[in-house]
Amino acid sequence: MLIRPDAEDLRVISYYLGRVLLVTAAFVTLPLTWALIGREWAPAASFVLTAGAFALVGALAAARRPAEPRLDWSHGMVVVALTWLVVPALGSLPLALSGHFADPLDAYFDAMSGLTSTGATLIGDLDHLAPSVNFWRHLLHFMGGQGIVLAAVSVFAGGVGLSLFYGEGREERFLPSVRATGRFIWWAAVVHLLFGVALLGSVAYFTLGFTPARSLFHGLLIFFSSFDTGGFTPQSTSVGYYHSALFEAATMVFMLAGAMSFGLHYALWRGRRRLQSLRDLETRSLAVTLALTMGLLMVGLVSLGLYRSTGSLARQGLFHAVSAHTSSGFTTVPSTEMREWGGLAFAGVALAMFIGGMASSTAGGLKAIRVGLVARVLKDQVKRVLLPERAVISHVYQQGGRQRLTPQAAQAALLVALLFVALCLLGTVVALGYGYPLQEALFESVSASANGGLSVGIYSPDMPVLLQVTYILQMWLGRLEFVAVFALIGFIVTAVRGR
Amino acid sequence: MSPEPRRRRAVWREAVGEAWGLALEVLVVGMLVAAALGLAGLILLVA
Repeated sequence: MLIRPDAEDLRVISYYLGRVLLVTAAFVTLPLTWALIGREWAPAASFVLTAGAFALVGALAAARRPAEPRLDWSHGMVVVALTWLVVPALGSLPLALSGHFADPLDAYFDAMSGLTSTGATLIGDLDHLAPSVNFWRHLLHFMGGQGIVLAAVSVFAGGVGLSLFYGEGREERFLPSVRATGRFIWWAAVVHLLFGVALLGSVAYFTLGFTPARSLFHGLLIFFSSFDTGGFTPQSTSVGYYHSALFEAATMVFMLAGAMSFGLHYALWRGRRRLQSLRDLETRSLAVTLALTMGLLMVGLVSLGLYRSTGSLARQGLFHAVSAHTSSGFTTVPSTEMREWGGLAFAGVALAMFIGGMASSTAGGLKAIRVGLVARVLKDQVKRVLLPERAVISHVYQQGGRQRLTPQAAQAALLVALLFVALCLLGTVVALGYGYPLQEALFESVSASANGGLSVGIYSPDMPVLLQVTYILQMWLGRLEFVAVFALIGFIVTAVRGR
Repeated sequence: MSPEPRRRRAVWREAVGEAWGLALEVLVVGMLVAAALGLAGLILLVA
């Protein structure tokens, strides 16, 4: 029997959603300040409107405090799923009002892409976008990559944050409380921010000849994009704009840092295990799949007759493998050129995006730990077939200490992997329905589902509306890793059919 | 040890730990570049 949610359930959900939106309103004051300092009056007006919209909707939603302001598991999941739909909707206002988008849906696509740290964009004439709006696009990466709900949890949660925390696709809580874990995640981001802006800005200033202000601007925006594995860039030609191997290497430092789980950051920075963490299943899984996909990509590029020198092949192969595997989506070649790659090179990039970074990182994709667990399940099955019946098969693996691969853990990893494949197929089938070639349809669909952002050209303002909506849903589902979205669907079903 | 030196030592330990983490990230990219050059050289040699 399905139990229909009552008014109190709605009040709890509305209350916490409202509080998250109020925290988001505070974030909008950053680009607003930027616009005011830069005397960009039209963008400033759009940010006032956006901050006002977040504050108004947030205040209205949180106006009635529930009698029992305690979130249970399903409430938290519904709050997360709704937050990730509402924030891009209101957050797309400055984009829609900038005049750089053909229609509001395109702006919503970009806001969802920004928040889910996908990096696919439909913007027109990016090179002439107001700097404050460009900053807002990249700030969306930062908010989403770190976890916008997590930010709010760090501010207001007492014992209420656990479901919100897991709902945003976080897998591990390495400190005793969600609030402490959330604060470490933001602290790590701030330390990386200072280091990142200094490093990227210095490379831009000393080797590219940028002015100090321009170095700072590009350093900051590229940091947001790389550490939060997003993919937006201040210029339309992505990282290719800089024509610098050193800048690409500096960007890779933060892409990899972003794709590392915050638990690993914690272990390396403050933990006692430090180097032992590098032997964890997830770390090894990531290293192996990165090497494999990079090799696949390089062989593909060579077989196409591209990049005949060791230096250029290594540069293109490594940068694009890291960019795809960390689900960042930076590129140094135009999408028209990437479309020509085809074959093994295509497979290498698509596979890298599909796998993605570590769980509890800012990266998307299936996640290295699940790939490691699925591989381990397969290995154990093969052993079971090959070894004598009486042989005892060890199910122990290393991940933050010795872990036992339980049937539940194996089932969860396999289920998410299956759902992820189904999600990738969804976008592929819709694109095929509109007549796009299979290879390109699959590539773009994997890119949206894994929050990768690399494109071979289907993402464009001219794409059919249904396909655009499908990609938006894929970005949303891929980022939240299904559970919160299923909880929202379940909530709606029980509201309609429950008793 | 009084609370103040203990607190100062904890802050230093934390700062050193974070510097080590950042240095390790740079080192990993250096190792990846070396590995990519080796792999590219090998692939071109075989091709």
